[in-house]
Amino acid sequence: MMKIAIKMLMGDRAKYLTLVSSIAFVSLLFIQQGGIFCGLIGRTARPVEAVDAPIWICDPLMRSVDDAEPMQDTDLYRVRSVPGVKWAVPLIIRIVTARLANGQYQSVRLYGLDDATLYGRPAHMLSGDTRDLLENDAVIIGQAESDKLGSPKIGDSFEINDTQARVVGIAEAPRDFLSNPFVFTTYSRALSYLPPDRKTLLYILAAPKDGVPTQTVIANIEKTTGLAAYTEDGYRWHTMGYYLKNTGIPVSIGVSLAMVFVIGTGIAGQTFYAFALQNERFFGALKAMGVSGTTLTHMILLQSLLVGLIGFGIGGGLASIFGFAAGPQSKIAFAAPWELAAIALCAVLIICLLASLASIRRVLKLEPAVVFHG
Amino acid sequence: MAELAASLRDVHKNYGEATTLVRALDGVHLEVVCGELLLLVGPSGCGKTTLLSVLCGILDATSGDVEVFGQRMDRMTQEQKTAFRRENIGFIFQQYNLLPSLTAAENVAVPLLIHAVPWEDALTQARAVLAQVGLADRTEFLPTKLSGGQQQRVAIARAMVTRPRLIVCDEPTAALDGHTGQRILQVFREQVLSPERAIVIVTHDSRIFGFGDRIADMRDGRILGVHTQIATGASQDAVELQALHPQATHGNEGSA
Repeated sequence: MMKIAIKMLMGDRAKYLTLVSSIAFVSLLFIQQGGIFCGLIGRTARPVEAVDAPIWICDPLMRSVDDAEPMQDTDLYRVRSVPGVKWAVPLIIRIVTARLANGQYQSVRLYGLDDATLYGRPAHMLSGDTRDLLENDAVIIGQAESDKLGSPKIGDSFEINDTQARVVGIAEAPRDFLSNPFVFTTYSRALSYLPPDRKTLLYILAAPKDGVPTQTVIANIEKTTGLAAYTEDGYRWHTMGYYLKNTGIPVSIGVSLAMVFVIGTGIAGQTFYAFALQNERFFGALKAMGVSGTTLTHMILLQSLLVGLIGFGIGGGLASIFGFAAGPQSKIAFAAPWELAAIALCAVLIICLLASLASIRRVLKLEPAVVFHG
Repeated sequence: MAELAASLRDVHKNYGEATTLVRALDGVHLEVVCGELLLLVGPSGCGKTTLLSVLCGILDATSGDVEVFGQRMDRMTQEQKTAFRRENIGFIFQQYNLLPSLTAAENVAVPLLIHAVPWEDALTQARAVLAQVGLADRTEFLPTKLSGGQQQRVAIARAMVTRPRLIVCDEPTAALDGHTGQRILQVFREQVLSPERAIVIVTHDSRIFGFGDRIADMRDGRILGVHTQIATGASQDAVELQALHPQATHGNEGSA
């Protein structure tokens, strides 16, 4: 009988295509909107990922990577003295304002890297060399969003806090949530770009000694210094959590996803119900011929499941095309982890289940005597 | 004496209540025996279809005894009735009710599939029964590609395929022209009727009155009389009944 159910479903081409396309549309919107949500939230943690350090240490009041809660300069030495710490270097990450050659102002994300090691320097240079950062006034810019700086080339310059910044290299850098260009320089030069402040040390990057678990070192640092310490992944989630709690992004995207869910359920439900209505006399005939209510329920659920899976496949495919078209370096924030696809599939299956409930109820309550009504 | 296929004793079926009460069946007594083709005739709204529905357990009688092959339908649960219909009753509907997305063979195979017969076996049996009703060359046609008479023959094949002992038909010729209607009734007599099987046909098409072994005349929810015909064909009874039912149709003169 399940084969009959499939043939009944696919035989009514118009309704079948309406059902599949509505579920495909729901899947597309769900994954696309969910992907933008994941992409946007993921971008809040890009400044952390760009550094690639085992342990991040900061003031306990620091709420995100974009916050500025400086520590004492002496905290660097305290961290270096903690048992299990192999090395520790300072890092500055601040949003500052650059003045371009044409007089315009542009916010940039400034990285001040340890002068001795340049730890946290870009991993992949597109032009120039990271060692050139040791030259006077030298900065390396990230290519992403560099158009906001006038797409400078090596040798071009701009100003930060009335101090010259000369481009000595262009590196691959991620796009962050605020879409600011990345500017890398040495720690000491970064201090000259910042307004004078009593405390300037924002982050300390550290690594555990060989054989010492990272979590043990983190616990030692927190216990000994009273500072906050995270693994890189921990600090990523700390930052993303801040944006999740303190911005309207989850609510905005959540509302649109809820609307997709409700509208999708409505469209699919109406179409399923219309399908049941149109096939009422056939379902009635099947009941009269001895098909049990359980079998009819299974038939409708199978039809619903089939529509859900095919629609999800098409919608997911279209969303993947959207994701590929956007690309990792695109201005469009889009990320579709497998968890998002799994959630979207669950949502689609719930929509299909809800949509089929009205049909199932209708068919179960249907008097088989309807078949004798000419 | 032939086995009793079905009996209805003082069967009532009411719709609505108080001022809206309609007595669709008002004390019906009727017996159907195996090997006979019983025509249930009467004007529109006299309760023929309700009687048919009660007889095969798809409507519950308000009161009275309904017995089919010795089983009291009025004492069965819905699930038991469903299973009973599956095993014992074949249906032929006025509008055929063939699933439009299934071929003729697949439509005929449906009752077998309900009995959990494997798909290919069901199709093989269905094709054989379609051949019996003269549709061997139409087994893979969709219903929309068949004429009205052919669709009705598919419906007959579907009702026969599980060899049920009782076949009920609702206005099987209402949508057919006179000639096709008569050919369908010939199929009933020659291919469907057998000594161990009874056929009950609801109709108000006077042109087929001559094909019944007995004709139950129904009016206002009651059986006025049951007329036995000596031989099939246009009997005197049929002629008399035709006179009794001047509003009886002469079928659809258009080609179906």
